[in-house]
Amino acid sequence: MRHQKMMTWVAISGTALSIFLVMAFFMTEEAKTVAMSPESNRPRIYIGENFHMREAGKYNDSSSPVSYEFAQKFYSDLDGVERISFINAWQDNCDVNVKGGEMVSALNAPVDDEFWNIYDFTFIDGRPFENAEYKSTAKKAILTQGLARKLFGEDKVAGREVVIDCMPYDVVGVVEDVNPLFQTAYANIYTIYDNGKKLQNDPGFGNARAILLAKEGVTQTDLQRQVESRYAIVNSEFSKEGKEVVYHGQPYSTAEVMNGGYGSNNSPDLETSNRINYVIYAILILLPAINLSSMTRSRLRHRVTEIGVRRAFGAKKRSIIMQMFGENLIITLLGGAIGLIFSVLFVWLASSLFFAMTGDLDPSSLDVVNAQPTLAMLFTWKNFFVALGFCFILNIISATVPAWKASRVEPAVAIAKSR
Amino acid sequence: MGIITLNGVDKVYRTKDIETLALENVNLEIEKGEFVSIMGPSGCGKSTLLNIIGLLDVPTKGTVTIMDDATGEMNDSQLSEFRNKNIGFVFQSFHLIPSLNVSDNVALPLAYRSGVSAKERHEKVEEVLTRLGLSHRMRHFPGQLSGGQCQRVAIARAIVGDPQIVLADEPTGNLDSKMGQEVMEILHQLNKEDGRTIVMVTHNESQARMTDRIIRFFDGRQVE
Repeated sequence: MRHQKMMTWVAISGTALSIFLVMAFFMTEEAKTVAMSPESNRPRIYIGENFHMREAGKYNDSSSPVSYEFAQKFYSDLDGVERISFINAWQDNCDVNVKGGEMVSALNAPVDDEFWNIYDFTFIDGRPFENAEYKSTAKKAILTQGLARKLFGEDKVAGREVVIDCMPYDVVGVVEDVNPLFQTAYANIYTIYDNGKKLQNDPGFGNARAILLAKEGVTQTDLQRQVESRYAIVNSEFSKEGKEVVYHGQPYSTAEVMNGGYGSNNSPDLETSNRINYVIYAILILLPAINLSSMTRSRLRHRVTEIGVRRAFGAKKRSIIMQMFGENLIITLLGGAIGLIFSVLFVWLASSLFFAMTGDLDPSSLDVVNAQPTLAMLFTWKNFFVALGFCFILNIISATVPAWKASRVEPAVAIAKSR
Repeated sequence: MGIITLNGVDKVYRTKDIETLALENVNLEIEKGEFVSIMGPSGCGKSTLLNIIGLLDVPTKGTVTIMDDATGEMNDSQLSEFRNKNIGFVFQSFHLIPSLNVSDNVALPLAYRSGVSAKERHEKVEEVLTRLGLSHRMRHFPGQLSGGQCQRVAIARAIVGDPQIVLADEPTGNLDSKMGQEVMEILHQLNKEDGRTIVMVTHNESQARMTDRIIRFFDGRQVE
């Protein structure tokens, strides 16, 4: 490698580019499900939402967010659940201002008091909602730091008043800004969820979303089994009216919510989503691997004599193969490290390219928070080991043919070539 | 029986259209401790013969017995091991590995020998390089050495594993007469002092005359 510096650097650069591409894609996917504050409990958080009902013998097939009443039926008091929170199924766009101040467009998430126990927000000022406030649907609000500064010019504003869609609210707390990638916890302002709001005539349809925090060791399947049996109980009642509530595998994991591509009347399909990702990874790895392989073979042609000499002095075919893999591994690891660093920096600096289409968030709300993923979200141990894994795969794909060819070099022929 | 015995050895190179007989019915016996020169015009099969003796190539017909071992029955891995322990090579173009320093180049045969620790390897390399007057060049790279020094490093590499047989393919061919003389003196020293068997391909009649025996080849056949 030292002897063929130019070729070595081209190979390292090629590897770096390959790892850069695949890791940029991987990190974009990973950043959506990484467990960090305020969603540090993501591996244990499950979401219960949506209600899909159809009538036998008719074309009546309806779906929408579930009502609070039915969300309770399906998700309350499940075995293995540590905490449960009920929040509004969607975040609302609203206009916020302080009296006489500039109007700011913001995203409002109506939540209950338990919400603050499941998600680990960092309070800069004030406190979370209390149970009594939730029960009385008090006009209380918690602002994010960015919004508080925009409205008041400072962030210690607990006890002050804001106007949300023309209604006065008491600010009880200010939390650190939440990254939009944390879709469930993300908002600019939090108000109290009104669980008594009746939106439709049918009791199953409503505006609720249940957030379940499972106990350590409890699996999604444990919860799904219980929820499915509750659907069966509900259906035994509904069947008398010729109706059926369709179970779609609730509660959902964070990965399913973020990447599952589901709707209110269909189940998440993480497998398809993963399969597409694997195909993309394979293409991103395979194409540069083929290039690297031919580059390695080209380097090999310049080293035929060396291989012949090594064979003459006792190197077995296996040693030559191991040497080729070893040298290639150094190149792929060096390239991998460079590629990983560049991918982290690139995804971080050019985050709008990668995360602009995240969810259904109103872009107008993004101007009051920092929409960039943090470096810590991108540079995780998981990403590091995945990059390492990709390096090994790249090494095996790109070195196998050259190593095999090198081991088959006949020493006499190899030495004769340079005579 | 000699240390090297060739019986009825033919070597034929075949391509799609042409068949070339490089060696024809070679019968040869070289005794232990002998210094033998192989001479003949270019293309007469000298190097092919050396490759076959060095187990770098296999005969099309006939048998090669070295140190009482029938080499035709060995697989690739056994041949590598046999070469590593018993045969050292010196090439006309030195064939040092440019990316390795002198010490690592010399240590090459020991690197492929099991049971040799790094410390032993280092001691052995130092001992051989000191003997050849190159201990001060251990950290140098081949590109920083003269031709004569390169060939001395190549000889050090050939003998570091203590082989009984050293095969030298025109070892002075790329050197001026003074350096060539130095290299020949070293080879004679290895033969006389260590009792190593040396087989040398050469075009130089005077150098050949200083060896124990000259074997002459013409058109793939042994003529003398």
